Amino acid sequence: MRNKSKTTALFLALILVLFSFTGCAQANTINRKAIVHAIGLDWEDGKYVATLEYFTPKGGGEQPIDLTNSNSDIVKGEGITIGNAIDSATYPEGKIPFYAQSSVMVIGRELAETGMDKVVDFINFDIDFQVNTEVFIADGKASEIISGDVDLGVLPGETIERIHEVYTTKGMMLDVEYYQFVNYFYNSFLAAGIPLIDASVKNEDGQKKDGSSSEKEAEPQKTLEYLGTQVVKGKKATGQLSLDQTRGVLFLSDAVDSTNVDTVLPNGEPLAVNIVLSETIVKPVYNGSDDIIFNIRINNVINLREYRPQSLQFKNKEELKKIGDAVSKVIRQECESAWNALMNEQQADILGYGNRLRSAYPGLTDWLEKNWENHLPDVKYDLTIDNRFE
Amino acid sequence: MGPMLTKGMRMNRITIAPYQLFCVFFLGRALTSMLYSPTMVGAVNPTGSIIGMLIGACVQLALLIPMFLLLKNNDGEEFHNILLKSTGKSGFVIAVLYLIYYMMVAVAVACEMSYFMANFTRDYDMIFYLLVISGVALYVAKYGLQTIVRVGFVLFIILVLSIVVIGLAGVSHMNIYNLKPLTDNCWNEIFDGFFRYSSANMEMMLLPVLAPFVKTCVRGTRKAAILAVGVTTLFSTYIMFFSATVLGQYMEKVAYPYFMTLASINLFGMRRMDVLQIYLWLAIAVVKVALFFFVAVHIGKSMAPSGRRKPVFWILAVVMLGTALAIGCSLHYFSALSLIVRNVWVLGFLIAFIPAVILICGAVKRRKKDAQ
Repeated sequence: MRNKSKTTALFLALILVLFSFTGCAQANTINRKAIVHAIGLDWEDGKYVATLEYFTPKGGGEQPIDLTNSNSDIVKGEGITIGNAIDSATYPEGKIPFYAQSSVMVIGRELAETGMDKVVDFINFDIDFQVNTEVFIADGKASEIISGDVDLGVLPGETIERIHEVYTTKGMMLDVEYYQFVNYFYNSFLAAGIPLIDASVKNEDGQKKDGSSSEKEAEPQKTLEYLGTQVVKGKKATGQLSLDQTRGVLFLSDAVDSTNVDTVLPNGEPLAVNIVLSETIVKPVYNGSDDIIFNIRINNVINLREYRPQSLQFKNKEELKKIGDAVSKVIRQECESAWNALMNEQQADILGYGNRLRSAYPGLTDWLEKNWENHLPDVKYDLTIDNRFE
Repeated sequence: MGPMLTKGMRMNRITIAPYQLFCVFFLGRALTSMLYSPTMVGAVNPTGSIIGMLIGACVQLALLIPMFLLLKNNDGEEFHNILLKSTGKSGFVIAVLYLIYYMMVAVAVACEMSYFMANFTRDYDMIFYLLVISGVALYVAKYGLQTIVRVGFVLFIILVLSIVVIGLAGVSHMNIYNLKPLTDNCWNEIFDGFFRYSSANMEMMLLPVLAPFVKTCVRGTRKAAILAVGVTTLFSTYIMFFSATVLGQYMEKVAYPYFMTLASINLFGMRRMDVLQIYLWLAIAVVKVALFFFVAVHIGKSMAPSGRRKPVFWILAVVMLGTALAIGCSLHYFSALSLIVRNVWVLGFLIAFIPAVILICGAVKRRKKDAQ
């Protein structure tokens, strides 16, 4: 009798469990989902414009995926809210957006300058959105980046992500995921830096058919161009930093693991080194609100990459010192340029130095929230660069 | 009042090992820490919270002293018997208080987990998850304490492994400068952390009822409890530190910071750690609900006259399910329930004050007896 009731209970439990299987209830088939790789958001004529790139393999089953064509579709929609714009992009296709695989988000310049708080508000309430999505700002429209005109291979979103990975690994681009951006966004005394990209036109010769030259005008092909860093201060995009300044920012914020430095020696010889390891130590010193100084020490481990040695006894101390000085000069110029642009001109702390000061002097928390931005031009720094050869 | 169960009756009782007790205590407390929500209980300063937790652990251990003494003086005795022996008829009322609290905790955990699941999966609504959690928990509780602790042990191993993996993945995402230091209002921040931590230690309430089940009785129970307080405190501080250093200011704006932290990190390209964890947390919630429900049923049965104990399980099951469905439909009632369940004064009253009163009553009775 006891065994019978146990069996009955087990049987009932199994039936209950079956209801949780999607086959018995609401089915979410994969072809009904728009597996979004890249999202572009713009603000045009008082409306939000959403551009989504989602995966649609051209092939399947016995037919292999066609690698010569893009395997994604790009849809565009507009609306009075961001959610409305996204829905109007995907619903006519009969699809529901699925963001779990989204890796790239591009925000158009106009939207970034109008205010990014709406973007943050939308994403914060949409739990599907991947918070480690890479964020970019387009110099023009995001829809021009996430576009079939841009030569980005079979999966444009993934290609952008890979380009970004190469640039960040080589210490040339800020690595900003959404949750990192939002941390700075909500911080009242810091600013955020976001990679700035653009789709630039590259003219190519028209394809020749049957040996005869084509009279048709070459269709301009676009490629992705990385321009530097967009500064977002007070929830809006403000100034920009060049590529060199961006690397200066990376050095100053200890975000460079490895990078290549190319320069020309005083004697005219080209020099290329690979910094295989870089570490930046920052020590803030507070002696009153008018006397804040950051002691910055950059320690590099260097490999020579392209150089013609001057003496037979290669790697003699004097020669290495010249090389080290040349590398230090480049890094110092980039750091100084970045510092001037951020602290003096734009008064935007994207380096996170306010946080470092707060950690070292916790009592300054309230003061920082009220006064840090205005005090940035008065903040000083002392930069030391130390190179060691491998 | 129900009959008194004698020590001899323990011979046939199911026993559990102290480490199993520790595992279920850890799971229950860990779940509370992982589901910390600044939007529901209010944002805290992470540094203040961590310091508050460490102080809270010491206070918690101090508050457990009366309980440990009570269990030592009544080694192996059922809690219901101890209450009746020491306080007479009021023991029945006290037992009912504990029973009601255990039921409230079971309902609160089921509702909290259902709310979380409904919000983060969006496949089904809260009622569905309430039914699933309650149903499975009742099924597990029906099989008894050994089933609960054995399942708990397996989940404990899985949770520990996942914490190690997540820790490894999260190291590169942590930024110590994101951790907000104490402000000028530091004492309030520390007290806030202390009260929030202390008000969530519901598992210690299970000690007097579960102690007789533990193989080595008081010694094993005491060890398990002390270890549980220490380890869960460390785990809670780790979670707070981890979330704060990864998310920074974003932590104050999200509903479930630790969950969001899992969504932010990746290990060798493996993303969506949050999805891997969500069903583990659901299973842990089921074990926690089952444990509190089992304890409530055990007290209920010991208060019922023999021959009328069988329906106790089903009556309490209906009460729990009905209450969970009613409260689950209204966040207003859920907040009110949470206010009682997660109340440091209620916990202090039940964990420390009542055992202290029972000890005093017992000492007074012994003195009177000796005087006679």
